[in-house]
Amino acid sequence: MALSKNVLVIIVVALIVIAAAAFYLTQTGPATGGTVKVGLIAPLTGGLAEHGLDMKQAAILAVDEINKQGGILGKKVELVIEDTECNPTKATAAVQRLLTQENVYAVFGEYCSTVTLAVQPSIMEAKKLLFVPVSVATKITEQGYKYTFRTCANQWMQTTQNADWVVEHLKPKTAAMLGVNDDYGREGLKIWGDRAKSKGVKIVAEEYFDKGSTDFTSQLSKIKAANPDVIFVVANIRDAANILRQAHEIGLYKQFVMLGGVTSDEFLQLADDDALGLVHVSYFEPTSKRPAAAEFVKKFRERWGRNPAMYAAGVWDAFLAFKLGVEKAGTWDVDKVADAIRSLRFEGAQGTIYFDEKGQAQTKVLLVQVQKVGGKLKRVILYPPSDKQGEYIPPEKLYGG
Amino acid sequence: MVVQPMELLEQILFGLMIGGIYGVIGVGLTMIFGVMRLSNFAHGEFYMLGAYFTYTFVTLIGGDPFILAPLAAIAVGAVGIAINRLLFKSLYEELKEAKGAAAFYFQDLKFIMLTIGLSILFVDLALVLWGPIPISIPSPLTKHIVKLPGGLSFSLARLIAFVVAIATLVGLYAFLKFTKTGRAIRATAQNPSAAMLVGVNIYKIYDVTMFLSTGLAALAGGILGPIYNVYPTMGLDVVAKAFVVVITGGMGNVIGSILAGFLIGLAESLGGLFLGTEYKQVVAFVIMIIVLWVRPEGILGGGRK
Repeated sequence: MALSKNVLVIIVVALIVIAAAAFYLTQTGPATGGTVKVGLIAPLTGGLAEHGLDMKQAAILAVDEINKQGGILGKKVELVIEDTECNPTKATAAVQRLLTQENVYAVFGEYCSTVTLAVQPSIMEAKKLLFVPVSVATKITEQGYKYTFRTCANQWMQTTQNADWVVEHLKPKTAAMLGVNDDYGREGLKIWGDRAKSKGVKIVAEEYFDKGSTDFTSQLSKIKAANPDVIFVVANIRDAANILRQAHEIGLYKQFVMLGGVTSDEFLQLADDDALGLVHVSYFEPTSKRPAAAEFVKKFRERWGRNPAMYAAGVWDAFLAFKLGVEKAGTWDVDKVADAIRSLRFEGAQGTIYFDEKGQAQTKVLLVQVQKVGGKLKRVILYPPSDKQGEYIPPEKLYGG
Repeated sequence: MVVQPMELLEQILFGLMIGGIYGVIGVGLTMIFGVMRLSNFAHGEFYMLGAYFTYTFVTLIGGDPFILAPLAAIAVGAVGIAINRLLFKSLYEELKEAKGAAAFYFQDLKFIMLTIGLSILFVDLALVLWGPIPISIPSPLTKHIVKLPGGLSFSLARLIAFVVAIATLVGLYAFLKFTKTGRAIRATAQNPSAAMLVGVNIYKIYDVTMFLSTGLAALAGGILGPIYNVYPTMGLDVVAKAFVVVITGGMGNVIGSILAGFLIGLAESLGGLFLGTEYKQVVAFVIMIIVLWVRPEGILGGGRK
């Protein structure tokens, strides 16, 4: 009776598979069951792991907070974290896993604009929400996808506000630019340079460095020879610390101006006194007196024992937008939720947040300067006036002549 | 564009200083190739470990990183010996049995995969042990700026790193040239079977070679740690450069590697100055390609000195 035995085995196996599939579907389907899954993609290993850490810690904190308050529309949120290493291929595979195996309702991420742009189409096709809390490439929201929302200022907003402030307050005649040789750096230098040029500033040097460089003396020495009034730099914290240290090494004590990538306590530790006088954009400051920001900083410190950097704030606000959006819609229907998020106006860690038609958060950028307060390095907010904490100090005063 | 003489001098100076460090990293890599005939893709991670060990010693014991870097180099060298005995030894055994060129390359492929795996393992280990946030090793010497007439300046730390690099290279050369162990290393490099016949314990020589190679990489990491930053993937950023130095200098050629180190350091600085800094990284590879084209055996040939 070998045949009937085989048939029996097949039937049993088929039953198990069907039961497992049914169990799986009821467990993960957002419309039924007691949990909703969301995914976070971030570089947790590789050269940008330090920024991924901020994103991961903020996401875990945000999800715990949401669940502590009873979840969203009665559902607990479950966080699935995927490492991308800032690699588009790895990230695409990770997102496929999130969409097909984990059946997530929304994706949060990522750090690198290239990666966000690479995974965005498949998330949009799957009709899932994409919250972009960190990557700044202007194109991400410019494409006008219905389900994409960015919760931080984009590259264009950051860079033009930076250039405007510099031209207005520092009144430079000449400027030099130095940036990482990728989309982020090239776009940053183009926007800043065009803006400054349109206001009558002459660009006397434009230099680039490759990812993974540690020595910037060639670039800095050329900039020193061009003798500009200000130097605009687009770099991550590691490169920025090296750039400032090496600039001072070769005797280049000009006003350095940077984008938001250097807003963290770790950067100040890394660059130490060489950071003194640096002016940069920030979209979140832990010292901010705004109640929503103060509450976030308190919770983050209690949980992780360190101050959150601005990337953490971007992620925190993305989860706020997600929660408030679903609650406002009163349903998990993704189209209705996307519409609801577009009509939100809420207080996040970065201040008042509301989105434009394309899903870009209209947030205010802060301009800060690294100064010494009570013997310790601190980012002092110079702009906007509502948050101002101190006055700008020119490098001649900080470093003498 | 007009290049000012001071700018040129500054670039030559910084190029030579970096070149010395390239030499130290490259020499370690070339020794493994010359003596053991194997390509070590985890070489950059020993450089990274040297920096982290130095940092750990500075925080545990206290003191200047430039004094503790040699100590870290010895510790990493010991790790090198351990890896040699635990992982690499069985591959030499197999290599000894292998016959013909095909077998040789096949063994090397195994070794390449093994060391690439080690490299990933070490990076992740560093991530777990020291965290992803980059750190700088505090030293008062980085803050001390040496000022030369004409507006030239550099930190004392960079100068010391250069002096340490030169002293190490000279010391290594003397060791290989004049000591008994040095002669045994050279003999093993030339012909392992003949060396064995005249009583050289080649496994001991492999231990010494691994110790020197990994220790030199670690020393470079330790003395550069206070000048640049320390982070888990820092080794991946230098390993390609180290291979360029080794190939340009002639694989297995110690003197060639030292010269190639200086050549590439200088070429990068001057290339950045004349061609534009975005081409700085390309210059090293262009030089390697040209050298391979004109002299496939490297500037000094593959002589296993």
